[in-house]
Parts: sequence; structure tokens; C-alpha cells
Amino acid sequence: MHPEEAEEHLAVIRSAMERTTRYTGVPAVACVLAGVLAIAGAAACRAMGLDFNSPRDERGLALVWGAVCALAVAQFVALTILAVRRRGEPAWSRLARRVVVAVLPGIYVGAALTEFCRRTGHLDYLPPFWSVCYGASVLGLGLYAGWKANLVGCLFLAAGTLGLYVLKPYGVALMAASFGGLHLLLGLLIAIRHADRRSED
Amino acid sequence: MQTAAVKIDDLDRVIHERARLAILSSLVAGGETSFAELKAVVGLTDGNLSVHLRILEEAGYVAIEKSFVERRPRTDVRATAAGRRAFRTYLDVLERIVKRGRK
Repeated sequence: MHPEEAEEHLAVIRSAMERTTRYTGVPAVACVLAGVLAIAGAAACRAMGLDFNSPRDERGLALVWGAVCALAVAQFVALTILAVRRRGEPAWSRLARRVVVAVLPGIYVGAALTEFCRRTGHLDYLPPFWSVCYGASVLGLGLYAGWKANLVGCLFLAAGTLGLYVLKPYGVALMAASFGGLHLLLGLLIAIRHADRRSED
Repeated sequence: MQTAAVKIDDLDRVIHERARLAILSSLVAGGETSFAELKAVVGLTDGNLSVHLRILEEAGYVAIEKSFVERRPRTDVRATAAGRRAFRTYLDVLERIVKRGRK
């Protein structure tokens, strides 16, 4: 066997192993829609005069961000299942289950902290806490989805940290910038990757 | 060329075929996998994948389990210990060939 042929076989091995462990199910359009929904939520808060610094606004904030969260999750799950099935792959694959397990701890901590803030009246901590917890979840996704998710996860962490120590009075703006802007960024990065792959094909 | 001729004898013919090499690589990297997932990863048709899996199973390199989940048939495949050993040996041989080619 010639070394060139051996290298080709090593490339087959590398490629198969990478396809096995790399999660590519997240569609760009789902990220973009999630970003648009977050920006719409922030705009709704502005229009309704809702502020995270005002404990009286708890009900309104819960309504707006609860709806944003429910819609974002629903469209994300639906579009991901559609995208994966279109490629002829099973939606609830072993890799998808691993991704969900990696993402869940951040979501769980976010939910626990949300209840804590609600009970203690510290609603102003919610946007930074959500951003940090979501960043941890996106980093969990990054274990299987690569550097783009890792980058966006780190940016969520940075936005949340800034929110805790510098931007706490600007909760609604932080929501628009982090959950809005960073989802749009992730969608853009994924779309660029898909465009690169199509041009390679 | 003498070296190359000797080395090809060391290569496991069962794994050497590219589709089977991709299947075994995927199973070694990802653990137990369903037939549908494996099909998506290696990009083979149902028929081709079945044929290659049968060859790997006959060599003792993979174990195939058939079951029913919610009344639907399900096939799970995993690399056996012998399959993992054969894969490592195959990799060693490939690496030696590449290294000798670079010298």
C-alpha cells in the first residue's frame, strides 16, 4: 500500500469519527427566529413600560418573557426536528440525547434562580442570571457543535457578568443584546457554515 | 515498493474496504448506535449497510441486536472488543505506512 492511499484511509476514519461526534442539527433559521423573538420581547417591554428594576412589573414581565421563551423553545424544537428529518437522520438520536443532557444543567440552574429572584423580589438580577445560565447551556451544546457555539456561549457568559456588575439597571436592553443579538450572531455563523459546505459540494 | 507489498498483507481485509472502515470508525467513536443513525453517518443505503454489517458481524467485529420499541423494529449495532482491537491494529499499520512514506 502506498502512503498516499494510507492517508486517504486515515481521512475516511477521521471523517467518520467527526460525523459521529459532531452535532449539526441546530438550524440557522431557528437561532435567528429566537433572536427576533427576544428583540420583540424587549420591544414589548419598552412599549408596555415594563422594567426589571420594578418588582410591581413581575406579572407583566412573566407574561412577556414566558411567551418569548415558550415560542422560542417551540419553534427551535420544531425546526430542528424538521431539519434533521430532511437530512434523513433520526431526530431523537444518541447524539441529540447527549446534547440535551449537556444543555439541561444550565437551564435547570436558570429556572431555580428565576424562582429565587421572584420570591426575594430581585427581578433586576434575572437578565444577567439568565444570560450566564444560558451561556453555560450553549457551552454544553458547544461540546458537540464546535467552536461557533463555544464562542456564543462565552459571549453570553460575558454579557451576563457585565449585566451583574455594570448593566444591572438596563435589564431589558441586556435581554435584547444577549438573547436577541447573540442568537442572531449564532444563526449567522451557522448559515455561513452551511453556505461553505454547499459551495464545497 | 517492497515495503508497501509487505505492509498490505498486514492490513485487515475486512476493515480495509472504505465503507466498512467508516462503519467501524463510527462505532468505535460513538459507541452503540442504531441502524438509522449509522446509515446517516456513513451515507449508505439500507441494503449496502446491511451487507457490510453482515460481513463485519461474521468477522466478529460488530454485534447486532434486534428489538422492538413501541412495536417498531429497531436494530442496534456496537463494536465488539475484537472489533476495537482489529481497528487499533489497522490504524497502527496505516500510521506505519504513512511514516515510512515520509522518511
